Amino acid sequence: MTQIVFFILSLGTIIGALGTILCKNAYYSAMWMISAFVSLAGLFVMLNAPFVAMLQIIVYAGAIAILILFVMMLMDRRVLNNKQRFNPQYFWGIILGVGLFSDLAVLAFKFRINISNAGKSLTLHGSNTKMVGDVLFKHYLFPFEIIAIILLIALIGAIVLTKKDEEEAR
Amino acid sequence: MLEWLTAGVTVFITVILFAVILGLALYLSPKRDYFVKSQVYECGIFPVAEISNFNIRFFIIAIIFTLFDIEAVFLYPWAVDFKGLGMLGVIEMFLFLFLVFVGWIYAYKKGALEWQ
Amino acid sequence: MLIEYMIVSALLFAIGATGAMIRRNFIVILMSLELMLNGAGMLLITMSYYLGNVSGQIMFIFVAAVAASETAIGLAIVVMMYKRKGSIDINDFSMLKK
Repeated sequence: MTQIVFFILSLGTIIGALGTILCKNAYYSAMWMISAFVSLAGLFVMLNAPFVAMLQIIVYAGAIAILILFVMMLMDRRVLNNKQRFNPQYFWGIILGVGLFSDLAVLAFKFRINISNAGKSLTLHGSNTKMVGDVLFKHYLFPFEIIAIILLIALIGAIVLTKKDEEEAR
Repeated sequence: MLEWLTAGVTVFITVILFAVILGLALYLSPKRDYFVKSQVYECGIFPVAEISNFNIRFFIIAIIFTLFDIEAVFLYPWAVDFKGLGMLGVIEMFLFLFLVFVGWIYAYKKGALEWQ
Repeated sequence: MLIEYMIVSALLFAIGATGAMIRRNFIVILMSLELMLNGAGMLLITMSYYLGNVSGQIMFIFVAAVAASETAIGLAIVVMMYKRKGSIDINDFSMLKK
């Protein structure tokens, strides 16, 4: 049963990823990307990480993909879907991608760890979210505040980049 | 794992249902596509040029939404484990909220949220 | 099961990297970067499960926050280029070469 569900979900992920990079129309690419993200959320549920699965749906499929679709909606569709889909040197790109995958696959086959405590200590009082909160706010204090600064810089950077142009145009 | 079976069945039925409905609509509906149909409607006058409906303020608001969405995600585990974290968690979270709120004040001061 | 999860994550990462190398559309390249980040994040979640340590999930939350910031800045650059040059083809953005 677990094997079948894993197979369906991973197939959805891989097909979604392939559709993202192969579709000619950028809107279809975004839709395939959303399907890959949702299948990946299913895989996260199988790995006993329901909080992260919900985060995947809320943040990736709900915010990032919608932001990308929103920007595409504002653009001229003839500019968006230009004639040439691939670079002229796409052959070498594919070779490099296949090489990267075989490299990682060899590493994965050689990888050995002790999996005796698989699936343990992921919950606190029967809740994964509680465990994440406990470890996040007790052991990862400093990275957490750094994330706030990264979000602040991203907000300021995006406003500075777009606002300057608007004032010039006026 | 087993308590997620209902969610899985719901997703499965939804996907099948929408695939059937959209596929039937695509198969049964008549398709007559011609050039004038896909043009912009401008009170019956022929359009002179392609419109450019690009307004950058929509984009700034979308970016602000995305970043505050991330901030809300960090609020969930804090709220669930509020009692276990105690005062330290409150101080941390308010520092985090203050740092992100500085960005909101910046956007407000720069007039990114205003429509002229 | 560990090996299958690792293979899926490697495949996702490799597909994302290939897409970033071969496509010309800037927005599709940003999507490929998201796929790469997700492939790396999936390995973090897998290791978090098999090692019995919740730190991997927290790393994934940080990765998601950085990915959102990166998308916001990347799309701001795309919008600027679209307004300046009227194109989002990556091969048109070569002002530094001249």
